[in-house]
Amino acid sequence: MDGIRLKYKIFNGLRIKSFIGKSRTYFTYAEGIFRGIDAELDVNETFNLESRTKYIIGGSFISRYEKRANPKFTLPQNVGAYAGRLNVLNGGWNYFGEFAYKINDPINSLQENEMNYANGSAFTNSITYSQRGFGITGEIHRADNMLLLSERERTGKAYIMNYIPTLSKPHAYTLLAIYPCATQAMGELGVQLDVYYKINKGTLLGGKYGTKLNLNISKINGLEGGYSMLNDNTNHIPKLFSFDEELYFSDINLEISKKVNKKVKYNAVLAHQKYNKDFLEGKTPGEYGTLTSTIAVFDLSYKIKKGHTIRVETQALFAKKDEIATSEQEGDWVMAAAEYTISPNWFFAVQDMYNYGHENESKRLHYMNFNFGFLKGSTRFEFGYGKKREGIFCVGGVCKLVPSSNGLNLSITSSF
Amino acid sequence: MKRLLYITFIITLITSCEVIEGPYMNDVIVPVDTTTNQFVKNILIEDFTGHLCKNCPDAARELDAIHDFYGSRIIGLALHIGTTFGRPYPTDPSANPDQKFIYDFRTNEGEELDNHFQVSQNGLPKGMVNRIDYSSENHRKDYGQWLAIVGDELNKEVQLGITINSTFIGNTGDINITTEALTSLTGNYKIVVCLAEDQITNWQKDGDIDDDTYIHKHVLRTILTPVWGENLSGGGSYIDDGDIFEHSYSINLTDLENENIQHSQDILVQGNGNAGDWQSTNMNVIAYVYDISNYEILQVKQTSLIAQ
Repeated sequence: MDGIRLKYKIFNGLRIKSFIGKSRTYFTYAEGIFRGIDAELDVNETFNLESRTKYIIGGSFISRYEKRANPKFTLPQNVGAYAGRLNVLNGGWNYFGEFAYKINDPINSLQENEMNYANGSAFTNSITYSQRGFGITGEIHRADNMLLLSERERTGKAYIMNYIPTLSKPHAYTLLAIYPCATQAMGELGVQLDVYYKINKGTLLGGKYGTKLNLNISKINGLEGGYSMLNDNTNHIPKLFSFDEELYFSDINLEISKKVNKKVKYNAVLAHQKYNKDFLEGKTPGEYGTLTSTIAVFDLSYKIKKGHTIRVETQALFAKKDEIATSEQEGDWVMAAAEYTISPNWFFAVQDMYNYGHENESKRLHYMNFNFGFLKGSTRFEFGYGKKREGIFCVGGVCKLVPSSNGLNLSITSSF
Repeated sequence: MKRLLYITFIITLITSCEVIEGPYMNDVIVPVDTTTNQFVKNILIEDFTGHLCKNCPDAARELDAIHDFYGSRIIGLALHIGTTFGRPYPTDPSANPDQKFIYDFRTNEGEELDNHFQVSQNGLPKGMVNRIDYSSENHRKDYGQWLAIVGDELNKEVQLGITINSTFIGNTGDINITTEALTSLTGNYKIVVCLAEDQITNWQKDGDIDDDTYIHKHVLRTILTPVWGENLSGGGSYIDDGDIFEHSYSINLTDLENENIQHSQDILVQGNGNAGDWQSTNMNVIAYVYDISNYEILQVKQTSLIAQ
């Protein structure tokens, strides 16, 4: 975004940020002009409270101006959205809640069924309790008609202004993240539970160094009857809570991390995921249905000598075909990878993903990749050669379909 | 001073929110007055589409809605293009028992226009409204943008008047086009003459549905001139107010149809030659004039191939 931003501390504990500007879309600007303000009040700091409980209250308002140009329907030139948030911390407890609301934001069309004057809303609530060796987080979020674009007429991810975090664990292992969930700003309801536990060292299961466990469960489904819709002929508001609607994504996974001795440590993950490919990838219902997969990962590191570590990773994904699916399924996958690190400067890696279960035998392919890299200070050079599968590539909760490719890549990353 | 700035800013924000109460639709429709002037400025919306593109019917419906509102001043042209969304499915019954999407709507000319304007590369549906903004590379418009541009374009001065005269019997005929300058112009202009067919019932992906009763409208069948047109004026780059230019084309629809079938069969990626069954009774002649310096269409006119 290009524009002006002002930050102002009115008094102790109250900070205000505001801006006015236009959003960049690649090399041009979107039509909408945005104005926004955000205020955050640290109650304890402002009122000099000595309480063990800490309160932080925040609120924001944003408005998009875009000229009206519709001869048939009344369009708002200024579309406003606001949000309020509360963070309460007490000892091991941490509560965070945010509610956001958007007023009518129809597109510019002459078709009545395309015009939606419904308000949008979203909330997220999470509560965490943690103490030494144990932590638990429960989270719920819901979004309804909450897509806010930098230009009302446009389609495409470059125009999305608001960010709603994904409510599922962001996995680092390839086969766990092969079918990732992207937030549906137009409508979804999700719940998540995350439990961490460390088995003490010196016990039977804890061994000499202790064992870390992480159980994560998440489930995201659609809204009852779809997102809110309001025009001269339709008035639909979905139920606030309804958990038996169409499933978009679910994930239940257990991760065990253990250091066996000074040289060996491992990480093991077992997960069961459901991924509504038809909906999340915009396919025709029944084309792929909902993919059900069970995934196992075992990651073993061995320190050969000081500065030399070899890490071997094996992964397997066992897929169950949806009975309604009419298209060819990718089916089962296996993957193996080995990485040799000479710290602090060098690393070499080889990995192979094999889609041995593809229904079409000609597509049972190996996706082999070789990489090596060099780290110097804050700069990282990486050189790779290999074949990449087609897939959903996600950054910050926004995902896009990337076609498969074969070739060389060189990346240089430098932070300064 | 800073505090004052903030208070001003907050007041501006508070007034920056418009809640619209229903009814949302206005019933004010201003008909176009054509009695005082023989010619009015018309708009060509080139809708780049494909029968496998599930979001494309939304664009087609928007084009219909704009046409319904503004009437004959809005002329649509659907260009089915590309392999991803435009290719036909195999006709082999074992691979495609329902015989879905086996028709090849694509044309040689549509592909050439798409290659030049690079529309399908940027994702469908997309369209061009009088091809404006080519110079700034913003000519590919989302269908949500069409309406606002149409509003602006309709207010532009009418510079040319086009009259189409079609005499068509059986499968052959003559098309005569008269273009009259309504103001003096400096520049180089080309005229392009197309045939488009309406009311083709065939498969189309429409949202979550594979629809075999979908009615395809204003589908580009062929271009009678070269794709990039013929010179409007015989000489010079100055056109005087009142100048009249005549262009004539003799056509044989069967030959044109066979060329299209052959092209689908031999040239198009995954083409299958199933590109015939043209219906002359549903065909329209579309003629437009554009400025070669920026491709902007100055005037367009449509008439049915066979006199109604």
